[in-house]
Amino acid sequence: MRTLAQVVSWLALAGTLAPSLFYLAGGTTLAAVKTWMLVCTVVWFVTVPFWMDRAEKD
Amino acid sequence: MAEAPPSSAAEPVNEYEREPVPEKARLGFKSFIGQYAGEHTAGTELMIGPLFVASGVAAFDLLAGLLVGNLLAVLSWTLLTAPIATRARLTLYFQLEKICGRKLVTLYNLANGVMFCFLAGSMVTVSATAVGVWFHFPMPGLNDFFPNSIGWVIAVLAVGVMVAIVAAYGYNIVARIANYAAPWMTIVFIAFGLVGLREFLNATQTTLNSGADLWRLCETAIWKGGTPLPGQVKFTFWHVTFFAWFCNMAMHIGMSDLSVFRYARKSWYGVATASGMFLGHYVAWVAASILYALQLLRTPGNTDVLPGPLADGAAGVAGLICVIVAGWTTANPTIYRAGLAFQAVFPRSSRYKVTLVTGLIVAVFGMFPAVAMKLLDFVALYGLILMPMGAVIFVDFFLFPKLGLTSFYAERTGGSFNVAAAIAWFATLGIATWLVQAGYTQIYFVSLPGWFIAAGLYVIVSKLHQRLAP
Repeated sequence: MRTLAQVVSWLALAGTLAPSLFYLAGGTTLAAVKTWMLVCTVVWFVTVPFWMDRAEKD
Repeated sequence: MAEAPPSSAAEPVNEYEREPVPEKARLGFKSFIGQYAGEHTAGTELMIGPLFVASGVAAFDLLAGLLVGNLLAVLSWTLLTAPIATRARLTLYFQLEKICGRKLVTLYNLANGVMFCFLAGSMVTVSATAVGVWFHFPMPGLNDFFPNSIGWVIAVLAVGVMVAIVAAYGYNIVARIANYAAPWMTIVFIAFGLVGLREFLNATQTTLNSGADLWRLCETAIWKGGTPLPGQVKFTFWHVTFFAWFCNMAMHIGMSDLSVFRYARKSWYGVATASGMFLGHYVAWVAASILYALQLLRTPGNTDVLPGPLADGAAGVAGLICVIVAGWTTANPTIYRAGLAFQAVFPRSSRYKVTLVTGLIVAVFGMFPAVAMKLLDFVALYGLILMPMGAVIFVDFFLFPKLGLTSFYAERTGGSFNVAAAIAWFATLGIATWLVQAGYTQIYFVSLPGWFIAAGLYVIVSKLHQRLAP
């Protein structure tokens, strides 16, 4: 569970950055960037508590 | 910078306050990388970047100045703060008490607490600009001193009271959220810059075929240099360098982060601050400045520095969440530490009560946009006020044994007010104020001669004082 949450979190973090990179390259719209950034933000904050605290305790 | 907030949200603030940190409690290098990266990606970064542009900075001056200034800041932590912290392993306050005595430390706490309140106030101001995007009330302009609408006052009060209550009762929860948010905030700041750059390409109808094209865009459209906006000081390479170096002066040269690095196993862990200086300050300031330059390009008359609308334009709701979280998570430990500083002044009051009242004072300060809009000047002043005590600690620790003078004078003599340290502090501030007022130098630079003045005064007066003392 912890590993899964960690993988999803890092994917969400990458997903937060990727839309802006695509936008810089001219591959998407600003509206899509904003939507994807919000989705990935929600995923990051939902999944990160499952592993970050535990990592600290370890 | 935090901003320059004080110590990290994750710092174990109530441990080993009056004893050296033992071996078992010491932390590894990685702890400090994460701590500094999170701490220096604050809401105030979104003010500082735009203010550079408002100050008419040129591309080379900004990018090279930030490189040099942030490097000097890292070196200051590594070569000045961490070596003392890892030898003495004491908090700043305990070490100062040994040198200066309890009464002088109380004065220092008071100054520190007031500065923290202003700083936290500017963080609340930043968060409130995000609320303004949703509720559409008039927000303050670049040169506003007083609040300019009822909506603004209500928004700042709402954010400020919430932050105050949480700082008093839910500190650990916010500290945890700050840890969760730190990597995400850094990414959102980078996204701000990338989106801003694309928008610039679109607005100027530029096509990038080489690095030279990008540099031309930077020089001619983003950081054009030239005359600053009305009411702003012109920023050159030296201004940027010294600002980047001294904006956390209270923490490194001022020795506030003795309390952080006393947990470090090795003194070279000071280089971990590079994560905060380069990922946080460098990237965040550059990204935020791109967004503001874009605003000026599109609407030249709109000089307002409002992180909320800037972030909304680049990243929508995620950007607004970033502004609120960045302001909130850094205001929280700042208020908490201001509360601790004031509690040392009023030891009979409960910490919760003091923190709550401090938070309410912060909310009132946050209503006045002057601190946030003049953040470049305030941050320089903040460093200057606390810097002389850093010079006192450095000289007391490294030079006094070599000069045959008594270190930790107050502790060894049982005194409660070290006259030499007090003269070094107040006279330095007096001389620095005179140098600035008389036009010999600007507030951004005066702390450099100020450090040597403080150090010299402390040695000379200590020599006289210790010789005359019975």
